[in-house]
Amino acid sequence: MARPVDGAPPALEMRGVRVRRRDRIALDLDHLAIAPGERVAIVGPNGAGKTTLLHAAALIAEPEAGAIALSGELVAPGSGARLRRTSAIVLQQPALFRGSVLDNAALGLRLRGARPADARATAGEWLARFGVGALADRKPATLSGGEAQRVALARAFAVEPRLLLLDEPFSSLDAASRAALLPDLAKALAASGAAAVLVTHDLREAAAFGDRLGVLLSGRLAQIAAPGEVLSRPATLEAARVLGIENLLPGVALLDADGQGWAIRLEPVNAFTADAKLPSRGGMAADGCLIRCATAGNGVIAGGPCWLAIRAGAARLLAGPAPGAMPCVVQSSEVTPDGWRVMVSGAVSLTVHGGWDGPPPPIGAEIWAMIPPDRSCLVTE
Amino acid sequence: MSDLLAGLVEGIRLLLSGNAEVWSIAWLSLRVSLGATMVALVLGVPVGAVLAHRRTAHGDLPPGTARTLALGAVHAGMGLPPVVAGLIVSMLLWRNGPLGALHLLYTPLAMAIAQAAIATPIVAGLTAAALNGLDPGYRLQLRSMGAGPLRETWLLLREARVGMLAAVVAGFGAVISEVGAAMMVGGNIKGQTRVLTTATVLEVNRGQFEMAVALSVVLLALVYGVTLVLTIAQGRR
Repeated sequence: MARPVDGAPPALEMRGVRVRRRDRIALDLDHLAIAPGERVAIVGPNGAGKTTLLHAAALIAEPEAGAIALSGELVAPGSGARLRRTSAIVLQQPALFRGSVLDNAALGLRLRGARPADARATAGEWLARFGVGALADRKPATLSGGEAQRVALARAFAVEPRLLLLDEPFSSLDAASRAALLPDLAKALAASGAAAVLVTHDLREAAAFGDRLGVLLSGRLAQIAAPGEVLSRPATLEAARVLGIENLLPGVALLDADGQGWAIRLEPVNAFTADAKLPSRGGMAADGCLIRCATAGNGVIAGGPCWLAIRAGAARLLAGPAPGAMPCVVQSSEVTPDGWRVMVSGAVSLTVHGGWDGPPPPIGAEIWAMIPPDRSCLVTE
Repeated sequence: MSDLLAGLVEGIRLLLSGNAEVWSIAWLSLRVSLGATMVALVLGVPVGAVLAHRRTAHGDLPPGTARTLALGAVHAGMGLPPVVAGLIVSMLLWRNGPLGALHLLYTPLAMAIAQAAIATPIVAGLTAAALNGLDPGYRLQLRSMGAGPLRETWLLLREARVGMLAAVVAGFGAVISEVGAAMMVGGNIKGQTRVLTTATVLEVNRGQFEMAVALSVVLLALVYGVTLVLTIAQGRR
């Protein structure tokens, strides 16, 4: 991982950037700065403004307000064409032009006025780094999707961009091509020192790619931090949904008298006990409706409505009763690529994910579910 | 039916026998219509490129009102009746018309001008359609790589080669086959402005159906030959 250089200006800085598409605001960023060599992944639902963000950074979408600086140089009327050449963009479709693979890889350099021989030499090197050097004389139409995307990446890196913008470049590839391409991309980024922004729907890809992970909702950056932080502690309910958190249980937020510990009183769906006592060591009350959580996201207030967010993989199943565990019954069970997933139902319904270390509990089994406080958090809208 | 057969036989005989008049008529048809198609490409492709959406992404702004109105006019022009084009051009070229001093009326050049007026909207409209049919990613990719507007348009036209071939074929097909404009500005003067279509009309009026069918066969062979050359050229590149 390339570390930000102290004192160097950000590779990309966007401040107050607002972009309008037709009648709506597609992007409304307060502030986003990406350090030289830093890798940032951005996730968000369709229409959240991910592509608009990349287009604004590529100086293709015209913001109606705000300032964009590339490597410390403010984009101004007249400087756009020159600054545009300091970045490169790779799209979902490789958009290769007619001519040979080598011609395509050299196109960016040719457009920048490089001598044909120099452009082809540099392009050839990058094709080789992406493992498609042997295809240099082929026509793009004869390439597989994975090969074509490697050529598109080589074309982007050949211009030695300071900022690489990736618009779901792997989403049309099969899992094997994607798995093979990601490490090569990481190596190329490390070798070139370019900063990179990846927008994607794929959470695994986003989590693995970035130094930081951002969540874009309705054109606004709801959250941006280290991937582990974002994935375990979504800032809002909407962010939690986008981040694929399977269990979002509605309730009312509670705060300890000392103002330190958060808990939630869930709206029970199957049973209701008015005065359950919260176990002192965390976990949940025996009725399953009162659960302690480590943190609360943006806007959660004591006594206010909130949701408990916990990943299916963070919830645990126990064979017997334990303090802070909720008795429940297994309702459904399914196999997943990395284990199994069951839906259990007690006072509340919960999806729990397990690995291959043991078989899933049979449907109808009586079991105890536990929500570890340090793996859950409270969110609100 | 027997007229048709006899005409076919006569047509093939005329083609093979090297009838000087038929060959000179066919040669003039080809020169005038190819010239008109060239002019239509020179004028129509830039117009079509300007009128194509500047799309770079889904959800980009729709084309402005001026562009929509202009594109509508081009689309209407694609259906311009040849006889109307011929009328307008001949009125411009009449001795007391604005371009009368050039003395172009009843010359092959006048016919080429009228035919270019017919083909230009067709080429422009199909160029815009061909460019709009491209994945917006191509334009976006070129722009992000710092291509200027001319380079961008040139590379996109190359990418839209199938649609561009259709534009050339449609433009050429429209003018080689039209009779109204050629008649009106050319006058069907034997040895000077007589082309295959006007000659065919004349032979029909004379009751010479065999000759008319023969000329039509030559015309069809000519159209097929030219479009075949274009198709092969497109496939090779």
